[in-house]
Amino acid sequence: MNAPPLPAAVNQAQQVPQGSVGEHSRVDTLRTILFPALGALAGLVLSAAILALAPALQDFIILTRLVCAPPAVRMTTAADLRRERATLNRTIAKLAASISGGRSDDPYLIVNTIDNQFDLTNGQADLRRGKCSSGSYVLLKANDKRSWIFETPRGMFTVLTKIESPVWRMPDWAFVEDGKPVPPANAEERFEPGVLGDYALMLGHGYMIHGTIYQRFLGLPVTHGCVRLGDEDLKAVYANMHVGSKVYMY
Amino acid sequence: MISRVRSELMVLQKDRPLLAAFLVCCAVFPLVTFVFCVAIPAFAFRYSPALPGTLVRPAATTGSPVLDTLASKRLEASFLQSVCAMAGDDSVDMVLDAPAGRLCLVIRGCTVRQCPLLGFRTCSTVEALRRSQGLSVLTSSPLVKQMEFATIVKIPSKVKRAPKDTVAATAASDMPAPFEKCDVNCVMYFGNSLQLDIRQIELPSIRYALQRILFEGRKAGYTAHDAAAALAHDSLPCPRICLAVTLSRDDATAVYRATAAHCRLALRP
Repeated sequence: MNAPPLPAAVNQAQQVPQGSVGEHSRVDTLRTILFPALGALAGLVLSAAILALAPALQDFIILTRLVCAPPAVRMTTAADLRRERATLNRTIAKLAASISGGRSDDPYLIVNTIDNQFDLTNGQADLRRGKCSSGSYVLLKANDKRSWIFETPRGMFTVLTKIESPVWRMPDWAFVEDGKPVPPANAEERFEPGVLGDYALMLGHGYMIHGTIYQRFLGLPVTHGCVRLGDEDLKAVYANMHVGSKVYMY
Repeated sequence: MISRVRSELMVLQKDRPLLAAFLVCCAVFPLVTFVFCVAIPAFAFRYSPALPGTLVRPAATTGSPVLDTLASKRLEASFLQSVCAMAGDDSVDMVLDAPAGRLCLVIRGCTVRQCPLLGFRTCSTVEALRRSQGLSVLTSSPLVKQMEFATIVKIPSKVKRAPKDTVAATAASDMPAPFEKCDVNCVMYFGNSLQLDIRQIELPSIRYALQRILFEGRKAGYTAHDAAAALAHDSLPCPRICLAVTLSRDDATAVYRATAAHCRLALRP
């Protein structure tokens, strides 16, 4: 009668020669270290997954608690409720008034630098809307280690001055960008009339709203930080905005 | 190799102490993590009004319409208080008014962009807070953004080296391009454990699948890091208050790009 075949592991063990007993015990020792280590590693991976899913799991537990436990309601008298409602009504009216109190019918300009659009409005109606150009977010690096980022600032600004037929005083970066040598501060070649359009509204820190000779770039982020408008749009903005008018840029 | 692994598994199956050691090592970390990062914070999270027992009685619903009106008025008052608090600053802030169905960008109290909410979801923590009047406490002051990331870059900037001369400058000048329109998914983490997910309504394109996978991975990684950091500081990770809004792609892009790193949020969920 034939003996049943031995399992593979037993078979392998029998095939090991007598001389390799030491090696065998070394393998066993390695196993006793390796398997728990592998287990710990798998446990760490599972822990990381639990940490990543913690908000969802917590949310599930909180939802279960909400379903199981009904909400508690404060027992108060009707007079208390009436008093609280009156106080809340007064607070809401006061806060709503303080929010709307700061608004006036003065026209203001909203410049959207994300889509390069502008909106001239008085809060109730749009007076004019259209394309504009804002900062290109180009970082210009000069050979002498100087650098400029052409970014339109965000926030609320006030029209400080209004100028007709503005003349551009070219800053250093204008020469660096064109590959020309930078002239002295008040050199004649720094002053260039005509390139800023018919009007300019100064916002401070060198930023302004002005016209452009590059009408085809309107709607694109191409400027060095100023806001460029088309000729007709600029005319409308200049006519409606006065010194002190607000410009909101985002 | 496969036969080797199989034989090792057989050894593991036969050696009971080794199997026990493997399973204990495998279970101990996840168990501890679950208890300290999920179970205890979720059970310790209080949503019942902190009132003496005699003043509290259980009820199946909030009950009278008077109480509901009061709750909504409390929420409105704290929301307006929050909006007022933001009006004194020049930065671009956010106002999320879910009942009105809009997310607005505001500068000094002036709304510069209104984004209609095409979808709005909250987690059950918000409902728990609503029941306990904790929501009006949460929303009574603006929440400050602490961290954000998205599938698009915040500022699409380009670096330009100064040309050597006018010839090189003329050669380098090219037609400018508008900012690229990409799939937008972003997440913003605010104070008080508030998480605001912003998704676009448009179906995601296959082209941006990798960015989406990276984004989801980064989100999960940040959540895990946050929980681990809380544990490292001997505190339990707070349950997150998750809100998810769906906007059009343009609105989602504008909200992500226009807001600064520490912008504030006035909230009426």
